[in-house]
Amino acid sequence: MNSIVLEAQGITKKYRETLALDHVDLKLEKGKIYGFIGKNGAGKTTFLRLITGLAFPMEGRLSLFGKSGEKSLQEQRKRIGSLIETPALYPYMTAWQNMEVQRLQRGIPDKSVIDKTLKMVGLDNTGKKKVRNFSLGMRQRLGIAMALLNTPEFLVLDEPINGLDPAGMVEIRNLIKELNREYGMTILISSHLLEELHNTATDFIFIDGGRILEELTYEELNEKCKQHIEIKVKDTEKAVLVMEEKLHTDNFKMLPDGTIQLYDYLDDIESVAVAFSEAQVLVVGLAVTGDTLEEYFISKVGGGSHE
Amino acid sequence: MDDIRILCIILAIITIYLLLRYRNLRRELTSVSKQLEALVSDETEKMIDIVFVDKELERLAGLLNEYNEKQRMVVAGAMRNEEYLKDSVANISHDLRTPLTVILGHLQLLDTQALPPEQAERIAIVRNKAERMKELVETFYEYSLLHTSGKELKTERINVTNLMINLITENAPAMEEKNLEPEVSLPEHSVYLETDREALERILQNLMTNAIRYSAGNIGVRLTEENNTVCFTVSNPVPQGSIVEPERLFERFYTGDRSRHDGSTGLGLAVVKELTEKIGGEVKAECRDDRLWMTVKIERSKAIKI
Amino acid sequence: MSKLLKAEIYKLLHSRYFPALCLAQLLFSTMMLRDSLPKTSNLFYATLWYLPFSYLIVVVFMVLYFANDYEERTLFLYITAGNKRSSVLAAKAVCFVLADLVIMLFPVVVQLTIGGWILKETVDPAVIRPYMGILLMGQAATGMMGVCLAQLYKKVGNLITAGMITFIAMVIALNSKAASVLSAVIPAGHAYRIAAEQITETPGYYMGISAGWIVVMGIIALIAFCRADLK
Repeated sequence: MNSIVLEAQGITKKYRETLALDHVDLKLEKGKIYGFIGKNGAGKTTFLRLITGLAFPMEGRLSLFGKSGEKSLQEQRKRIGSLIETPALYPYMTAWQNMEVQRLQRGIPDKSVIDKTLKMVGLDNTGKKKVRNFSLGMRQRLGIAMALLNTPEFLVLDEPINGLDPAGMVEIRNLIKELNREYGMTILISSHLLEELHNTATDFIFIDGGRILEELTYEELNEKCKQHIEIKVKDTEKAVLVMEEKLHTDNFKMLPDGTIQLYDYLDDIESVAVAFSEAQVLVVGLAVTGDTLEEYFISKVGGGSHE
Repeated sequence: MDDIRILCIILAIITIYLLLRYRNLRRELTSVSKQLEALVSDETEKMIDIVFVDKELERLAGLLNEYNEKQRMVVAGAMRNEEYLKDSVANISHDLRTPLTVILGHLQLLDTQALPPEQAERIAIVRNKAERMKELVETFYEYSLLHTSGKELKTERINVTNLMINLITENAPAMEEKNLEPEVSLPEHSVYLETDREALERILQNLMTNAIRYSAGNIGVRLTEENNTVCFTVSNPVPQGSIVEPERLFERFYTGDRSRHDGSTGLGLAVVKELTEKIGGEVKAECRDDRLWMTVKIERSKAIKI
Repeated sequence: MSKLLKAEIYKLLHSRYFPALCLAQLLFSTMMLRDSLPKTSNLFYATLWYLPFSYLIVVVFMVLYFANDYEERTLFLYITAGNKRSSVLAAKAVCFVLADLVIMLFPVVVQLTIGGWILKETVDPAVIRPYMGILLMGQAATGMMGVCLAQLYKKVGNLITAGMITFIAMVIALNSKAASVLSAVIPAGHAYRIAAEQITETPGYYMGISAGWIVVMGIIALIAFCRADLK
């Protein structure tokens, strides 16, 4: 019964010689909060630009709310609110005036929606202050407010928490959850900061090098992050041999720092210890442990990015 | 003469202005109506947008949007409730199922040989009722799932001839226990149907369970295909006059003759009806020649495909 | 499209540069008036004599109006809101041309009325009327040229350069030996022609040339904008 809000089939985009998006296939269902996670330059913003109509795909098909074709897509975009990169604001106007321009161009009746929306993001008392005097956090909030102006059905946010202080982050996170709860709004948030999204999103999409690596639900991600045996050894090559030949498993990952994450034998960690010791591989650490989101992402992509 | 000319020009300008305003107003009214239509028919949830031609129109559109917002919140709230309910049912079912399984497990392991006959009999009764409870929990859970619209159908191409063979094989022990024999009539070639496998299996299994439970003789199982309709029939002999209203069998909790509902929840056939309709078919019950005939017909063109 | 127009007008009215530019143009052309009065036969022609030189102001306006929108990415807000690209361009073009007309012709009006009162010189409306069409179309065409340039050179730096080069080229062309021909072909030169009383053909001829420019510039701008990958 879940209707599809966005469907991408084989979306490919090239800028000069770089492949920004490589045959991306995605289906976004109504009512979910999607965390779109990737390093800087992985293709997140490019994809969001394609969704919002700022750029066009070279190959592939995009459909919004079941409709495709440039003309229909543009019509459907009226149902989307978006914030791409840093907020685009008129520096010499006040917050209210910036919102008014948006209200006029979208044809939204009733001026009071402006105050209501500003209140939602906590900007209802900026009065005559011009945007150029706003702090980064205030600008971010105004950008989000502009995206929310006509209570869209699909909200697309590009790194919305960037530049906010911890209290602001919490506020926006709560706002997102509330919007999803109260209106059943479908939300797509992109970020390279994973911890933040972990508590907000219902589904996760990992992207790297323009390709979708994996799609997981919140529960599935927790499952994956929950259990593995973390093995620290001195001789990693030998350890790998042991695992492949003695333990007959290739269900493991190597972290950049040489730590091995083994996803098998979770209930039989002794066999693992025995196998290593028999092969005279010195084990410095052996424990069943979970991942943080950050570690999981690094293990998938290698080399994360941090603020 | 000049004055009149100026007057005429002014009048002309006023007239043109009024006509334009009227035209614009009409056009925006049409636009608003169209947008409302889309809202009503659930095509969209988008707020109404207008060209600002008239203040009153703006006010109207604004109020309509406020109403739409309320509506969206209500709908979202309802869906949340449904999710919550579904989760609750799933949790409750699980909570009920677990101890029941333990109870049954231990009961099975009880060495009834070592007990005095009276005790053994009591154990048999307890076991019987515990099994019935387990069935009840399963059926309630399934039935509640049917009603929460979240259950999605997955269409696949199914070899229904094989399905029927499996069905008969699986139910063979149960039939043997009651000394019933299946009279099978299947077409020689494989019949294919595109529908949800789980749903179809559940429908047929429930029909079989029902037949086994009530049959006074051999059970007839038939699969036919005419034109573009696939037809599943399960029949069993029933004592004369015991089933007065065959259609009522599909009602929830209807167990017919009260004294004979050993182990039945009265929901099995209700599930059959709902599921059949969900996949786009129809089911009928008839009493003919002292036999109860349950027929499930699925017309290929009407089968609901995802 | 009227929604977009409303938004653009709102922006213009709340901007600081629009009234500033109007004022600047008024001062500039009034200064030029002292020089042109002796060269022409009446006040009206005097106000138009140096009009082509005022296009510098238009270049500045063009940069502030378009390139700024590109750099701040506020232009993209219209597109992501679901408006058709052609509508967006049309609204901005119309607004630009109208504002451009205001900037250029507002001083003319002021000079005709106040100037006429000061210099005790009245200009017979009958003189002005035939040239209204040519003037308006000529200004519109030059405005469209600005719109087109802005779509081809989106960033502030590039647009200033392109604008200046075009402006200087125009000035040179209008002061060259071929000026008599070029001032007919280039819409900006039409005002000069009126001032120099060199209008030999029918007004329709000039308006036609301007219309041609408008169409061509419009098409180029449309293609450039509608296909662009906007960053």
